[in-house]
Amino acid sequence: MIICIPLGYFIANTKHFIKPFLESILSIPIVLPPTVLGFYLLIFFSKDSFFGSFLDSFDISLLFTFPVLVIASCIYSLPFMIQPIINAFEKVDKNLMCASYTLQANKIKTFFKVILPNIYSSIIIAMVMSFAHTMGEFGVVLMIGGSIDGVSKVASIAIYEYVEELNYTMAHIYSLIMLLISFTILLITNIIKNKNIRYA
Amino acid sequence: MLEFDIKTTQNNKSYHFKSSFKSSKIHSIIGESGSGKSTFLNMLIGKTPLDEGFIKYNDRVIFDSYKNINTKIHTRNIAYVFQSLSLFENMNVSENIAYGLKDKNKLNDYIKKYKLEEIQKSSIRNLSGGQKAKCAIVRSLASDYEILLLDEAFANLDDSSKNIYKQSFINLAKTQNKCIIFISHNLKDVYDISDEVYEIENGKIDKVKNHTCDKLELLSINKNNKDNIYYVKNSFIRIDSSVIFEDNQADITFKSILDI
Repeated sequence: MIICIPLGYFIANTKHFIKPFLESILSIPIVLPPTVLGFYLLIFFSKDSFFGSFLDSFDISLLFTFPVLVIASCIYSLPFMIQPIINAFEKVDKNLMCASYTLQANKIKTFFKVILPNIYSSIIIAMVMSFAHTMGEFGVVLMIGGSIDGVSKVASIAIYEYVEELNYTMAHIYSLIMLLISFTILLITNIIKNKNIRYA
Repeated sequence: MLEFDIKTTQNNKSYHFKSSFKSSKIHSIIGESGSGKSTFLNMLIGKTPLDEGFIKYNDRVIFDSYKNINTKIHTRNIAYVFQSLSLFENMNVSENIAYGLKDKNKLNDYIKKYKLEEIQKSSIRNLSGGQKAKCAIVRSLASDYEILLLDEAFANLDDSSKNIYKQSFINLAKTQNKCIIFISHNLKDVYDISDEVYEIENGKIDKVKNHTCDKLELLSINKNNKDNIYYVKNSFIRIDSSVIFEDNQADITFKSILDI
């Protein structure tokens, strides 16, 4: 959210030639196979890379740890977070912003008092959807997390492993929990969306 | 005095507005829909980008393309009642009015003066069109400004409310030295409050001069116009209604013109 809100605001309001490049870069995780993204992240964080060797000089190794899963999930889910925020910023009535400026409010006051409250439902929807998307991620986390028990094993990988072991009972339990969580998240999203439409 | 000579091109249409508006006066602008009245206001506040020119208020330069000066909207000291009203729906009526108010202790004075006590805590979504218009007008009046722009501000107001605000604008211009620019299609409103009237046509602004002509097509006929005030071509005239025909034509002679 800390990255996506300022970045989304910039992309929605800029007419700079860099805009289509930024939008394309941020949308790459949608079209790229998760294993490709996982592979590049694996290279990026490995000790042979510039960044990995830099971290290694401080005795830090991120590969196959929980923090690298969080970083990878953030990158993977970025388009699902940022696209609704860009769309919401683009839809804010420019006259509202102008009205705020003519009342002697500067850009910062206008942003926090007028623009953000107008897109709060889109931010909540974006957060919920990106969380749901991250929860079901498989390829990226397997590539850089390695499915280590108690460290980097996530539910989606655990289900796959239980099925491989023919332990259908545990696979059912995990799958049912995932199904219930996914349904609840989508229900919350749609309730917020409908509430927003009703009052718009 | 507000002085301007500004040019812009929007949607392949060129606009060149040049004139000077005195402080302490209400300047009304009329013109057909799409003639560029709102564009003119948007150019003054800086919403519509200008190709070249200058805008000055007294000795303060607001915009000057030749000196590369383009002050930000929030420092121009221009209040604006938008045609769309543009109220903040995440705030109630009081919060909207307080938004641009420097001395928050004066909030109740504004609410009482303009009789908004009953709706002060109401959500914007629950207001009628007229109540929204009142809120938008008072919000602009409560801000710190030197120039006030009103774009069809009376469109949703009833007659009694209109009269209150008309008197307020006249007092503001005269007693507080404000420069007020008023856009309206309602010629009665324009006639009631204006010190000077301008017309925007073909991307240019011209002062409406009073003159007399024979057999002119009436641009506006209001059957309930008790004062018999009509806008004929570039003039406001008071005529004997017996000379008006059903087909919006009038046989206006010097004898039928009662007053200008």
